[in-house]
Amino acid sequence: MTAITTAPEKRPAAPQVAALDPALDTFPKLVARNATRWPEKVAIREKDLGIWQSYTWKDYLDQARLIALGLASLGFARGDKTAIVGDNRPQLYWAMMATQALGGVPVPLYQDSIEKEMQFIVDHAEARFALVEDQEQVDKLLHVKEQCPRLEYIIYDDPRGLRHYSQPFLMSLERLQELGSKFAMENPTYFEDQIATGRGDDMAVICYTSGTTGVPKGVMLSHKNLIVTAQTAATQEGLRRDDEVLAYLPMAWVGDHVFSYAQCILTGFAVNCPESAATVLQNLREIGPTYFFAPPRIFESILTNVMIRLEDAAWAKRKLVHFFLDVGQGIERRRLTGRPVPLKLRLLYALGRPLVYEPLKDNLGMRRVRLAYTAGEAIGPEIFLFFRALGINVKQLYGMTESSVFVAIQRDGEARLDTVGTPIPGVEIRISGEGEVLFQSPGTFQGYYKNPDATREMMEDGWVHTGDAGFIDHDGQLKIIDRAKDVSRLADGTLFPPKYIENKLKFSPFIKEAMCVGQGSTYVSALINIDLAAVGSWAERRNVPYTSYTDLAQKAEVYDLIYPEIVRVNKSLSEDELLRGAQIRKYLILHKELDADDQEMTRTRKLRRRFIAEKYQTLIDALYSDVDHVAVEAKVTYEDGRTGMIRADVRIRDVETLGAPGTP
Amino acid sequence: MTPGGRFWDRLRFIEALETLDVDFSKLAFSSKEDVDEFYDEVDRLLQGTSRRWYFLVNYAGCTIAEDVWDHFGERGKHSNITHGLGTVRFGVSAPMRETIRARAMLAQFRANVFETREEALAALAELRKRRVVTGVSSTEGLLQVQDVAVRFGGIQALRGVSFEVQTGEIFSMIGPNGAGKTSMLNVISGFYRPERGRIVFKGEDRTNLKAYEVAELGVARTFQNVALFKGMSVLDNIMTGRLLKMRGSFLLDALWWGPARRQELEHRAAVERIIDFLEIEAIRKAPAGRLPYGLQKRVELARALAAEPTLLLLDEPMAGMNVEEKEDIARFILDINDEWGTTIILIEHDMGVVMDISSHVLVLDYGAKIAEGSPGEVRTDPAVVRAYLGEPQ
Repeated sequence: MTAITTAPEKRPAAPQVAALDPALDTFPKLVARNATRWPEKVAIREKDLGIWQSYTWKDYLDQARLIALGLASLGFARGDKTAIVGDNRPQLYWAMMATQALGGVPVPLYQDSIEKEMQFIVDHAEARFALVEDQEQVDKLLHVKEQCPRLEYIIYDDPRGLRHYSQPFLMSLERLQELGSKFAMENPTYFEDQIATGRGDDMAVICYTSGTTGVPKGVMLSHKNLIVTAQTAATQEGLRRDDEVLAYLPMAWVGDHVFSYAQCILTGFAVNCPESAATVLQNLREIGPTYFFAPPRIFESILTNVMIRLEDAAWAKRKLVHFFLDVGQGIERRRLTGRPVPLKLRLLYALGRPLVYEPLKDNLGMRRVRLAYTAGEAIGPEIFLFFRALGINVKQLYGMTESSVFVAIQRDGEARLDTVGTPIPGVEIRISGEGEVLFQSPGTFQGYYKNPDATREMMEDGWVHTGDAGFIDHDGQLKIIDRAKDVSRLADGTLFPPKYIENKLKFSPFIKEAMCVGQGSTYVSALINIDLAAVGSWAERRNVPYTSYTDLAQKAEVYDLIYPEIVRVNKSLSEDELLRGAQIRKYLILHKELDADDQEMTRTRKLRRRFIAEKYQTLIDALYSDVDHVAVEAKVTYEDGRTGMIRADVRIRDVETLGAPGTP
Repeated sequence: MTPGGRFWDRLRFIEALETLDVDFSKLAFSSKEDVDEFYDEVDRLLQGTSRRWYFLVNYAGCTIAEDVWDHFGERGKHSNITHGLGTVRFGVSAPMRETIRARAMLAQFRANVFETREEALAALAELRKRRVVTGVSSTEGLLQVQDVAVRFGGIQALRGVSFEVQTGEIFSMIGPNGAGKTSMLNVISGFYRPERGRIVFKGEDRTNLKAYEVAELGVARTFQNVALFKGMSVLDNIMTGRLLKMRGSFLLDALWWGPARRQELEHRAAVERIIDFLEIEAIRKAPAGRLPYGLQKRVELARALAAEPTLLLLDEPMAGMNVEEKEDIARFILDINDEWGTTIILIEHDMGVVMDISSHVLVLDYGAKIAEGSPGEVRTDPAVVRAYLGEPQ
């Protein structure tokens, strides 16, 4: 299954997988199957007007049919693209299926994209149609429509605020479906005929990944890519038709496409769309999902939230909860490292269930979670242990857009802190001579849309180059260290994996983001973003007044708070011979949060290192000189695209470094 | 239009905007006969179309003799009332502007004076849009306040203030503290009975109605210091705004049966639509007293909207908010006006907001009206600058 080789070898094309049943090799065909087999089963819910409105598989098919026929009446041709922009809404999922039914390709965009980003993708993808949620998205598209010459129609779902818009190419979804009804009367079998023409190798979706460098690339995934990978994972992990999922992650992200669309259609489980971004945590409680995914930072924010609220609780309650959380984490730590769990602890755990664990899980809305996953970054040990200790089966997985997500998953009973799992059936992993992780999979993408050079670079000799540095450990689990091209060396040759160190820093609840610099220099230094909620709460408790993020970030007390966190990381680094020289010698706290709107990060919150290094050159230079503070100005971009300036005086602090463990 | 008439090339119909473009530029009205000649031609022209029009008038370089003004105003008013939907003027010289404004204050017509043709056209578009939304022509004022005076013992809170609010517009009242703005709202909403004057709402005299009777007619208001029920949830607070629309029998309500249940669900749906509109879903179950100030104000606004008012009175809705929060509320006010055509009377101190979103501004000082007009007019009015906006040092 897994081969640890170091010499690059020529390998044949992707491993053989059982051919798909041609009657069920596209998503529209599968939805049609669901509507016949389970017409009354709830497929998707949305909280609207304060109550959960349900739609069955029959509704799903009927609605998508009207949308598809409406598009057809406007001249939608096979191969056309539909841009889809908005929060998670049933109407947008139906629109995706409708597009696919007509042999077209949906192109989902991030709902918080700024106009420039939208224009690039809509134009690059050559989308003729756009189906969007509301006035906000319509306005953005209208501003850039001139620069998207192929865009012909914009269709919106929520009519609020759009009553006076009179553009002829703009219409409501309601109107589109009316056109669809009319079209159906003249072409009664059009929908079914189009679906029957689809094939597994047809393109199912183009997901644009906003790279950490360069312009976004459109990852083309076929129906087969998604169906095979999603089904393999679903079978291995035991997904069931009565599972419930909360669709709260952006539709433009391939993960949501796999969980809330592909796996939903394959398995038949129900997807729930939250009311708004502000109510997600409440909706989580109301729905009580059984299958849950969150990137580590969301798990972290849930934990931070719990801890903050705990600080306000009565002394007795606080003591009780902390006691049992320690018990749970102690047990979990033993389990994860394979040590036996003594009887006393097990009895305490049983006592802790009704007292602490179950009520806490209920409060978080996670009482029914059977399967929980996290991926994208390393997860802090405390966070991982916290959730597992409560009895929530959190496991790590590894994948990317180019692999239709699942490459490796930790199986039940094999959850470990510092690995990302074993390859799923049909996937082969290999480590290159330079330590880069390569894979072959039936989910491997069809290429980057209109970008054959990048495609070639990514898929040399039949293996996909993930760009991650890692290795397979003695248990056969994959371990990821860092982005391969970010791993560099200091002036004295010491290995410098910046993300590895940043992840350790981010394990602290007070540190939200961190960027380490030092390639080619004599030491490593860190630029830190504090977590406003956690540090703000801490400051209030200590009567440290502050007015804004910038103000709080520069308080001496906050620097003192962060200091031991950095020392903790240094201590951990000092225990590894290879990394001892990469300990952090200086740090500063940034005066503004790194933000995707300012192009400092991607929409999935990956750092754009080169851009940040350029923008904060002054700060980085100061870190490598002798000053203990530096004045700085930074440009910020607000959500509506306007820009402004933030000025601050940033302190710089030295940190002690430690020698090898055991040395004084 | 008979070609060859003296003014025929100064009058042009713009069908798409339902507007008559009137070019007074470099024209001189030196005698009553000049005025009559012009207006006779205009009336003949407009009669022939048997329709009503907006008027876009260019005054650049126009001169009107002192003793001719009254007659000019009379004829103009007659044409407006008979054939007009509303008038916007631009290119007015400084002395003429003073005269027009003074007359506007006395005679209760809209001066609607703008700097450039573009601004005038934009204002015209607003007038037309409001008419389209509300289906009412803008010569019919929704609310007329005539010579209202209010006294509390020795204190004269309002001294004979008159103005008119057009349907579908956002009308702001500004003025220093103590100028009588809240008193004016209280008179309009029936809380105070004026010692003199009339309030005419939707064409009928409402001066002596009680507050709840006024509310039943479709007037809703918010209060300067938030007046929510602190112990009730946000949802329940907003539901109280529906009270006047609820018809129920005690027995049926108690048993939660049949029509009572159906009605409650309808009211709940209406309230949910408002919650969605003002984006307060996340706090619908929270007790109102525990919310931050800005959100409490938003809930107040929601409660006022729940009554589905024709006229909404907002008393300093943005007090105590930072720039972002003000922008949010301003956006909601514009959305309410846009989506439901609700006429809004707004008391506000933030000049930026007032100038940005109002269509018409009234300035009070010590209980009397000192200026009235479009935001641009009021901003540069010397009396307003002296009393309120501050003298340049």
